[in-house]
Amino acid sequence: MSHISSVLASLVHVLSHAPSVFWRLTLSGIELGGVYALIAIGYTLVYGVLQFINFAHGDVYMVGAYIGFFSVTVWFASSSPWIQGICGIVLSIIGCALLGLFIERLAYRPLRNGLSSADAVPWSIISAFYVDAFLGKYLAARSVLPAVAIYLIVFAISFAVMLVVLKKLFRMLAPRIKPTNDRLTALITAIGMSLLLENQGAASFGVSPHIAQVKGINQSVAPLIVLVASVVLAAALVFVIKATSIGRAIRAVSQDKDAAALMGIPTDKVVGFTFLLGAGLAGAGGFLNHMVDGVQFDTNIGITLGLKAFIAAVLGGIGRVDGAIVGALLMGLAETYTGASIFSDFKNAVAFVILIAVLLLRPSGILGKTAQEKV
Amino acid sequence: MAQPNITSNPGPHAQVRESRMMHLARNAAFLAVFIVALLLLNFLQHKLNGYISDLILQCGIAIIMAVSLNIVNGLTGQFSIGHAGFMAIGAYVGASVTYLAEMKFSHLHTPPDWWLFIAMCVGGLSAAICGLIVGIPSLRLRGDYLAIVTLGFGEIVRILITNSASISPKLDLLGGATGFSGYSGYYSVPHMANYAFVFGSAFVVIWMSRNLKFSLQGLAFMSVREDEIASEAMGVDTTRTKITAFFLSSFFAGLGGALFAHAEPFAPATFSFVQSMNYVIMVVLGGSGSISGATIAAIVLTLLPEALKPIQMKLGLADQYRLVLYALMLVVMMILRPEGVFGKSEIRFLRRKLAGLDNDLSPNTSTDHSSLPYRTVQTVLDVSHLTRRFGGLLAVNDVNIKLEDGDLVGLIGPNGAGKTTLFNLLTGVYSPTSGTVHFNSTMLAGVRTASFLRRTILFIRDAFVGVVTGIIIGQIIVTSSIPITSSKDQIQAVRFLVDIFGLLGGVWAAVYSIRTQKNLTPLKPHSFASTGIARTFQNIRLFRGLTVLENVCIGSYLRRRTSVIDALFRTPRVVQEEYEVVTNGRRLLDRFNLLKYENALASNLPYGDQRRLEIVRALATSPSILLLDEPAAGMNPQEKTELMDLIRQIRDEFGLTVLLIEHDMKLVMGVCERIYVLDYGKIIAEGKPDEIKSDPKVIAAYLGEENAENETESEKLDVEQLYHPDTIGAVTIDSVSSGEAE
Amino acid sequence: MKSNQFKFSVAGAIVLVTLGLAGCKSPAKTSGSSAIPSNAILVGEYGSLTGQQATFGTSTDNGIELATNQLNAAGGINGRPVHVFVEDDQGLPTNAGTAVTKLIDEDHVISILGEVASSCSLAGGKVCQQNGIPMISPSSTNTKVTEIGNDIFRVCFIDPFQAAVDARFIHDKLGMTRVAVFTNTDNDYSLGFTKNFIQAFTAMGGTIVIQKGYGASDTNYQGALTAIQQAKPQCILIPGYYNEVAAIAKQARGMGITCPLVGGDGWDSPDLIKNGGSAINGCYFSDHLAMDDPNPVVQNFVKTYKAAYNHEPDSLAALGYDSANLLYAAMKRAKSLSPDDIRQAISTIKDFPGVTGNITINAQRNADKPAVIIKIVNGQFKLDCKIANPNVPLAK
Repeated sequence: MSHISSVLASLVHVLSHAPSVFWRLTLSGIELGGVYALIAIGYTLVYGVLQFINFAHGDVYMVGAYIGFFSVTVWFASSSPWIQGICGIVLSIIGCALLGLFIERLAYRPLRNGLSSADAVPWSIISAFYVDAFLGKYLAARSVLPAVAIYLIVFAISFAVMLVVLKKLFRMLAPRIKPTNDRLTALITAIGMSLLLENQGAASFGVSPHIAQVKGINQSVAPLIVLVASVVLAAALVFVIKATSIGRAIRAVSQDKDAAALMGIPTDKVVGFTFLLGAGLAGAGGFLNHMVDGVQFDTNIGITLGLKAFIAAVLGGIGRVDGAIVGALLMGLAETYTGASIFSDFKNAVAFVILIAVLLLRPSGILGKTAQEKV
Repeated sequence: MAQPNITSNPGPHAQVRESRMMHLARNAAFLAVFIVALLLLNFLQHKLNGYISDLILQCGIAIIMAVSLNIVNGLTGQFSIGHAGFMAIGAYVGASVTYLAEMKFSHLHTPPDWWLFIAMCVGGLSAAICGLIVGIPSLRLRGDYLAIVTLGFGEIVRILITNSASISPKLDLLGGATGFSGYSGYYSVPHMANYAFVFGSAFVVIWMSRNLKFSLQGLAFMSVREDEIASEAMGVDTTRTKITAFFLSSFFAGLGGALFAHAEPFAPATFSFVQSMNYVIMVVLGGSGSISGATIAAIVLTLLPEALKPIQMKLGLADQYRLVLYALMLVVMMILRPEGVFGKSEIRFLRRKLAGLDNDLSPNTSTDHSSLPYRTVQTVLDVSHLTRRFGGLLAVNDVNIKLEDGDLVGLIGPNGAGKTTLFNLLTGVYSPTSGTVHFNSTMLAGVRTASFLRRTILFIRDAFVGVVTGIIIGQIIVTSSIPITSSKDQIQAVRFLVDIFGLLGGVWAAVYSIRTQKNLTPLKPHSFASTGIARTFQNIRLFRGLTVLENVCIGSYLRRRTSVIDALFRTPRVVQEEYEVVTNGRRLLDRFNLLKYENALASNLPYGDQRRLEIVRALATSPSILLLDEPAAGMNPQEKTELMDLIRQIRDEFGLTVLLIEHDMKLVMGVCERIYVLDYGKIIAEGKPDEIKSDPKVIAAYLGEENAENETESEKLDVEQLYHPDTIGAVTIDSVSSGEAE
Repeated sequence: MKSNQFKFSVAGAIVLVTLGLAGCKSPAKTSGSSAIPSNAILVGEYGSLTGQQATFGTSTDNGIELATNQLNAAGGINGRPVHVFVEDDQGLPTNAGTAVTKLIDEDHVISILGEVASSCSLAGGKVCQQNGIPMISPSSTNTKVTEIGNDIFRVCFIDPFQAAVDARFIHDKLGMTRVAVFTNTDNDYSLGFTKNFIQAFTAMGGTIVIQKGYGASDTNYQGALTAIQQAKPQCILIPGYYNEVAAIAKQARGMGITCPLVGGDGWDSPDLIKNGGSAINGCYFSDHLAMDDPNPVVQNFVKTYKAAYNHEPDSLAALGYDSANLLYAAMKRAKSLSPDDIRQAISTIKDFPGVTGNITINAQRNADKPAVIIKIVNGQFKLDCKIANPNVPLAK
């Protein structure tokens, strides 16, 4: 009896000392969760409208981190912290949103709608990019003109040439290429885009990790900034989805793409906008996590973080924005607690364990409903 | 006796007996050639320059990996992107086997070569078991979860192997990040995998994949890729099939990994995501489903980067550009030719015709079905109080239907009345909210209480899992958030807290178990199919990428007598069965005048023929009940008349019970002996076609409540008019209801 | 049928072309002049020129190239120039094995320089040992590497030595006895360092107050750092790589951990300061050399390296430089250029005046030489002290 009471006394003692650590971990878990949420929302939105996993989403996040990195260390290196922070995050959001849209136009739309001559535009852009990467680099090193000018000229010329050529080619190929809604084809394409971004990133930015932070931010305010910013952004997204006409269109397309099209909703535009929104948020996530919180990153960061964010979306119920947020918060907490516990070696396995558990126990996620396929 | 009757035809048996002799002789000869070839290869290996010989060895292993991945990614249409993870398991387990053997029999300096064979088997099996652990949760579900899970798995395996020593000191032999090094830390795996082993295994893997691909089992694998729902309806247990495919694929990957461990230096970093993607790219570019494609892609993609290295170094390009190129190739390939270079086709010496394909069908044979014994009239399908609720909507409400042997019954009702939902309930696609479906007095759908034993076992399992999970979560929370103090009492207290967590978890799981495990999980459609319920679909769901004959052959999968193992080794039983199945399938096709299309892709058939093919496919499962969901949709009047005859003939010839959903009143009234009318999920009328025609409730349902009450007399005439064969042609319920709106 | 035959022939053609390409001998990247003189002495080098560890490989490659160019400019070995074939292994052991096989079988090199990462050196070293070709590893510190056999040498110190140097430094110079260890558990170097350090430090009477781990792909270390903070160590040993250390240091300082961080040669990179900023000030690490060492050999190397590559050398470059020079010195001394004689010559080298100290190859084919401790002061690496024998207590 006295044994139990002494145990209880120690318990009270430990618990009374625990809270400070507990709250700090909780805060950092929620903060990590906020970043996951910003990425997970993109997965869930795209899954909602197209029912496929946009594997390249994690890499969009990576690009966001790099845009942030260049804003902070190069473009606005000498500006005040406010300008660094605000311009950085805005650039990250805009850059990533455009990248998301570009990926959709480049790879996913031709799959969905079949090849058309309009698809020549994104393909010309990417061709021109590679001409620049090789020919442009070669010329820039051997010319008196400033490198930027050379790059621009090479880009413009090759873009124009490729546009003409590809338009012809695509028009010729178009009748032979039928649209497909095979999910495997879409998945492989997405994996292809992911590989492309990752390795192009590594080729352009180098494989060694980077680390930088907006001036004047220290570890005591960073979590708060990340937290507030992610709450504001998530709230803005929920507002867009719930209260605007484009949001209503997104919801309609999620319900039934064909019916929405029949109702006069331009589904392609809506899908594009969905990518834009999701990718923009991921860009913001990249900036917040790496430039505000100062977490180091390299070009492979998209794989691990993307995977975790996707699992968060599945945990919450894929296809639902609120589910993504809830799942992401739980995920962030679980990971932080595990990282601080005796199982810290297995921190990275937590996401995987959660995924297996969700798939076994509740595949539709915490907030999701089981959807029956129409037969 | 110019054309012997097939049923008493000694032909196939004699042929099979003869072929069995041939089979043996051929196998023996083949084995001899095979062994000689392997010995020659080994001889060759020592003649070659070390670098070239190393590259060729790598090609051999890449072939094993690509062909094995092809089983799951190509043949079955699932998507694994963690193949290197399974390879890692095989490599490490295989290396451990050799190591332990060497330690155990320390008098052997290097264990004899056959130890490698054991290492390969054990490595393969361990990888396959991991495949089961990963596959079972993710393959139960439709969708892309496998990709995510395998991606995670590949990463986790790497993390676990590098951290193995901290999991258990016993795993210290794996050597962490530097690679396998035994307990001493200085062991290196002997390079025993010579050409004979590598190319012998590659050959066996290719041979087995080919056997599998061109077999009834392989057809089932491919049907899962084509259409999971139709596949289930044909009696294919899709979950099991997918898991089997994944099991095989992981087994071969493990085997390849074990070979790799005995051929090349390796470390956890070797089995990275990039490595997995290499194999995926081999399969996708080569052609998803093509063994030849995967093999050739494996060779090309192993040698090409090596060949291009000097150029790459000269240009100063990072290795990443190779992957950039791969990525662009993937995307372009998906847009232009999603099936890959080879598609599903094979080079000539990997192709195989189905046995019995060239068999001459005698023109006037009777089918097996007519020889069925005379059956007494009995209730075969008994549906009672069947209800299905979707949210607030009662799609099917307290439906009672009885079908007797040989019945030809129609089910009609306005759009949205719940007809297709009812069909889905009868075939297990949906499970009922309440009510039961009995078939020949076995319960198919409905609440099936679990036995006490089962519940107890599940209870113990759940409670155990709950306690363990509780303890782990308790540990995490407690150890992460409690200040580190060395006081003994406090550690005691922490333990106490963890115990409480564990206990709570156990209690919760136990309560959960009691509340949810009362009933067995509903049967899946393939179980319905296997009891003898076959169906067609409202929107045609043929296996579009398979030929007409293959579509029909999948119907026979349900009655198969051979296993996957038989198929892998292509035993004489498989050949015999294939012969029978193909003959039977062709006979069925012949009966429905589809034989001319037997080698055409199902998707290339005219619409009406596709509908008929779906019926033939359903018949191939030798069902007792055939459920036809709007078989006449999209047919022209002449086709419809033919269909009416066909349905009647099917019923008579095959001794079936037929339940038919149809909007075409002429067809239903013309062919059905009894009709159920469904409206708002309820059966509102039942009877002979004439009774139904004049039933006021039916008229009300079709024409609206007020009309029926006020103008029954006059409307009746109109209805007669509607049903009149001359006008009926294209009149559908929709036009009736729009007529009412005027 | 026909189209299939076509496909088959196309595929066959591709395979043949690939085989042809792979088969034909293609000159690898060359150091110095692109044409190989007919009397050149052929040496092989393998390293991670691309991939995740590209920076290590490139630095080493630069060092070797510098040494080779200097040698050839000075007339080569007994009048014969040296040609170095370079193979990229992307930092993967399998590729390292293949690369070394290629160097030996295709390029017919007579000795080999290579690898930074121990897992690659082990893979390549085994091939060298099998073929009886001497190999010098510039910077693989894992003890196992030279234990492969009598053909494998190194010019750097080994892990237990370095860990003991750190322990001795912390115990004697800093006078600290309570140390926390924060290990990269995905990394063999880090794990080995940890083990050796704990052994050495506890033998000196110190205590390890807490031991925590992180993964190579981790980005957030706060959980583990919280635990470390509570254990109140006097300093934290982080035997990881510079990029991780910079991030850890930043997060640790942000959380209010002020004690010095101590590490090993994995820290050595300008990126440590670039990424770590002020967080890394006041920390120490052991290394092969200090660039501000007034020793003229070092200063001379720094100057010529900077002139050739336009940036500061790191210790990997210095070790690459030393490994190449040591090999060339041995070749000059060797009776003939047969592998056996070269091996013999390498194994008897004594007090070779390398950039990283005076190197003596001992009976275990390892290099006996002192280590340096570098302190980071205001974003600069400053030589703190040299420790030649960690088993002897230091004077305060």
